[in-house]
Amino acid sequence: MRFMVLVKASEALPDMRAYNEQLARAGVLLDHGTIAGYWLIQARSQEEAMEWAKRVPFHGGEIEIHRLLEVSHDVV
Amino acid sequence: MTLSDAHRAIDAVWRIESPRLIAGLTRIVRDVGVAEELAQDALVVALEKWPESGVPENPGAWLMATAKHRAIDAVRRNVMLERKHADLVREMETQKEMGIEAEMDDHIGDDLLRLVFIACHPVLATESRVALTLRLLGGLTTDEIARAFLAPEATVAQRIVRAKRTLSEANVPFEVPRGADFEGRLSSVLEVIYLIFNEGYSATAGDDLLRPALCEEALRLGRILGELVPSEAEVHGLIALMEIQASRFKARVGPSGEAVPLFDQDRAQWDRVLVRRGLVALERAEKLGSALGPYGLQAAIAACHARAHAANETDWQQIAALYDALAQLTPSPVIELNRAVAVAMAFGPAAGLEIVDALRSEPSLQNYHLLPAVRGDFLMKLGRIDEARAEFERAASLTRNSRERNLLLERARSASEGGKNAGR
Repeated sequence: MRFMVLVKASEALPDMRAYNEQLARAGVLLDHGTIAGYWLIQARSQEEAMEWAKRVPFHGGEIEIHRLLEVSHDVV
Repeated sequence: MTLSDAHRAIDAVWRIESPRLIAGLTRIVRDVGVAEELAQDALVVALEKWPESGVPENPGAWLMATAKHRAIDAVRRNVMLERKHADLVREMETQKEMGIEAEMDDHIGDDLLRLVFIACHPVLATESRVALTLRLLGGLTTDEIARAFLAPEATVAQRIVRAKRTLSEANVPFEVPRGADFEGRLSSVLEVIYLIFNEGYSATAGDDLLRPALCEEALRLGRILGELVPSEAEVHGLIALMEIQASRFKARVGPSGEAVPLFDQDRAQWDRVLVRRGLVALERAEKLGSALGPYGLQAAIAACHARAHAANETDWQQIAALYDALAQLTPSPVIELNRAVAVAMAFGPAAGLEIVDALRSEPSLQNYHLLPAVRGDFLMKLGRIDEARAEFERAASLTRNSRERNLLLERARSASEGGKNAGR
C-alpha cells in the first residue's frame, strides 16, 4: 500500500536527512520532497504508515497521512 | 484506542523492528531460532504493557532491552542452550552497561546483513531459504507465508523449524561472507529475493491478496539490501529489474483477466514512480563501473521498454545488443529466442529467422509454443505464408491456454487467407 505523509508547518522544517535515511534503509521510501515536506512510502498497513509518520522529527505542525488508492490489483 | 487498535499498532511496530531485533539477538545468542523466540517473548511483553503505557519513544531499543533481560533470566535458569552461559551473561550485562542504543547504532546494519546471509544460506533448500527470509526479514507469520505460496501451513511451519535446526547443527557462523565466498553467497540472496518477487508477479486476480503483496515484500527486501551493500552492482540491477517489472503490474492483465503481452500493454498504466525508481537504480548499477551482470542486463532491457512511450519508439538495436551480452553471460534457449525477437525488430525478420532456425533442434524448446509462434511471425513477414501457417498451427497445438490457442489459430487462418496482417 502507498501512503503520502505530509508535514504542514508554519516554520521551516529541520534537517530531514536522518529520517529520509531511516526510511530508505527500511526499504519503504518511494519518493520525497525536500522543500514541500512530503514522503511517499510503501507500507503494509495503515498502522505501519502511522508509525513511520510518528517518527518524523518535527513537532511544530501537523502531519497528514493519505492512503493512495489504486483501482485494481493493489500491489505497490 | 481500543485494545485491537493498540494491537494493530504494536503489530506495525513489530513488522518494522523485528528484523533488526532478531539480527541483534542472533549476534548475542548465535542461534536464529533462539533469537526469534527471545524477540517473540519481547513482543508478548509489549502486547501486555504498551496498550496502557503507549508505544515507547524508541520501540526498537525497548524491545531489545526487554529481550536481553529475558535472555539473561533464561540463561540463568539454564533453560536456553548449551553455550558458555557465564560468558554469555557477562557479555549481555556489559552491553547493558554500555547503553543499548549506542550499541545498536554500531552494529545494526552489519547484523541485519549477517541475518540476510544466514537466512539465505546454501545449506538450506531454496524453499526453506524463502520461508526463513520472509519470516525473519519480512516478519510474515507462518500462515501468511503459507497462503502466499499456496502451501499448507503445517508444511511451512515444519520447513521453518527444520531450517533453524539445520543452521544450528551446521554451526553456521553469524558473519558476512568474505572474499571469494561473497559473490556466490550474494547470488543466493538475490535469487531468493527474485523468487519471492516472481511468485508475487505471477499472482492473478482472485488470488489471496498476500500473493501480489510478495512483490512489495521482495522490493522492500531488495531496497534494504541496496542500502546495506551499496557497492554491489547486481543488487541495484535486481532492484531496477523488480521496480520496472512491478511498474507494469496493472497493465499486464486485461479486462477479462487475460495476460497482455508487453507490446500491447497500455503504457499509461505503467507506474511512473516505479519506472523512475527503476531507472535510478539501473544508473546506480552502471555507475559502479564494471560491466552489468545478469540482473543488471535484464534491467537494462526492461528499461529500454520503459523509456519508450509507445511500442514503436522502442530502441530494439539496444535491446538486441543487451540480449547479446546476456546470452554470453547466462546462455539459455529462452534468452536466445528473446534475442531473436529483438534482432528481428532491429534488423529484419531474416536475421531473426537465422537465430530461431538454430533453435529448432533444442530439446528444451520442443514443446514450447513460443518457438513456432515466433518463427511463424518471421515467416509471415518474409512472405513465406504456407510455412507460417504451419508454424502457427503447431504453436496452437502446444499451448494449453485456450485464449492463446485461439489467437494462434486466428493467425493461421488469416495466413491461409493470404493474410496481410502480420501484426502481433
